[in-house]
Amino acid sequence: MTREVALNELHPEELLAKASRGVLGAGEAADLRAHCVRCPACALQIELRGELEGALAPTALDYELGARAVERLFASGELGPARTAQRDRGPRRAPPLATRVALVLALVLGTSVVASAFVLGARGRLWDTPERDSEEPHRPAGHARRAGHAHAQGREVEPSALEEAPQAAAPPAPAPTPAASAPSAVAPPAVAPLRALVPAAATARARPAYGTGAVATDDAARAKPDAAALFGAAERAREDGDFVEARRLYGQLASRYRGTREELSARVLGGQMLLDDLDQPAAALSAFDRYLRDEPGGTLAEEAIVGRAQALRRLGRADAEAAAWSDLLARHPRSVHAELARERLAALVAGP
Amino acid sequence: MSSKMPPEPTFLAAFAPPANDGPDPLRALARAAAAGQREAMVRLMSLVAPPVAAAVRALLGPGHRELEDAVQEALLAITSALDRFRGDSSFLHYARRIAVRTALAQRRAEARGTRRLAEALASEAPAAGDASVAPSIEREQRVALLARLLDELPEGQAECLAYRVLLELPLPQIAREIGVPINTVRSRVRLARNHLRDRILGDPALAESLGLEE
Repeated sequence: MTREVALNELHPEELLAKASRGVLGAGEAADLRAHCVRCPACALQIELRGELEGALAPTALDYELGARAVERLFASGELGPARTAQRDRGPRRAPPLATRVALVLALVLGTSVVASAFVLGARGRLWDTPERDSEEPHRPAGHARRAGHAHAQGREVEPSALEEAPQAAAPPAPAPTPAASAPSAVAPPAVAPLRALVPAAATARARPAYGTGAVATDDAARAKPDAAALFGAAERAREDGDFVEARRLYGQLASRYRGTREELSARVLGGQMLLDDLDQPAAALSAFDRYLRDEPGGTLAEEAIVGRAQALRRLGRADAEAAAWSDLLARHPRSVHAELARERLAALVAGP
Repeated sequence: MSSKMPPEPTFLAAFAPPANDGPDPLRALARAAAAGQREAMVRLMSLVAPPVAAAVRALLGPGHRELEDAVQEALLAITSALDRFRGDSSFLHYARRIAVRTALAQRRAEARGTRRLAEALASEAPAAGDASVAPSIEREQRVALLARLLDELPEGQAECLAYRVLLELPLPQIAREIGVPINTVRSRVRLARNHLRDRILGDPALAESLGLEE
């Protein structure tokens, strides 16, 4: 880190704000980079951007914490809007039955309320800043390192949502069919061949009723199923078209069983779901990237690369898409997607 | 709403959803809760509790011994601020900002007895080049380090920088939020950044832990 820093040097707040919104011009990006070389404080803000989206997105732990805190909050029956300073921080007490019932209803109904935000067009990220909501699809060079930064779709949720926020933001209403939301008529039927590659053991085990874990106050929900059971439940939810539940279960899998065979597979399957069923290419891209980062030669690497390319296409990142297709041809020249890769490369070279 | 309401915090203009967005699904619930409807309050708190918990956890750390209490504290602060919410932003944005403020206050209250940053670095930072550290763990550690750096700052500077960096609020919005002139905010953020810059430049291990080495 260079130490030549003028003591009175101002920090480029305007450029940092533009970087947050993803609207830096090329010259501005160069200026900001030059400043960040000298100023680790501003570099830190750039570094953390994107990570904070994940850090501030609720995880399974947060759902449990939140549910318990709400329970305690209402346990005494004293809380009202006017209450301020008096805090009951004594030992936990079981809330009255009526409160428990209300809480359960609230949590269930609450999911619907949040989901309605998306149906109503609230852009899918209720707790993100509007600056992010207005981000442009393309992030300037130098700031594209974190795939999660670019949100091409207004409804997009944070890219790490599948991994970190199982219920962080309910996705939009599912597309009628994957085919209907496919970006191109030549797009391969990704889901079917993909599932054929999934470890058989992961899908063959018993599948619990996938809807039982939604309410954190439910004792059954607190019992952690094993990775295979979670994976199977997620797959079943997905097959049933309940993508919200499938995503939540994939999120639980990521939170509790990181690095297991099932969790790794779920990154690709979940990515495909985000891409095909939930129309969230940035989040899908992040999922594929996470798989390829940890399993570059994995069983699903080929499908992950294809998924990356398709997600990048949706995001309008032509150069990166071309690189992904080229990567596929280089690493998997006999891929069943090779023809598609060549077609896309030819189209990208020809330009719009 | 009563006409005796405290001065409205109009800092949320930048959080206001674009005109073509749908309505805030929690707004009506927030109003009902503010009006004293208990069921609405239960539902509202249940909805905002996870993101509130996430914000508190990010700042206090997942292993904080009073994390659950702190989340409850934040929820209490939100209920106390219900009557000041007028829908200038989504209620979730409003709640999360209060959570950040509450967590910062908690950190500051504990600051006297907390370990020094160097100790924290030694005990919690991942070893350089440790590829086995999961990205989410690394992220948590980086945010935790930032939180500890915030502890070193005067309260006003820490608050301004937290809103600026963690929530990416623009300066005018921060000024409205904390009720000081924008130039004061500008100055606080600049001083805070200067402090961070000097700390990081003076500590290569810290820079490395923050992922800022070259």
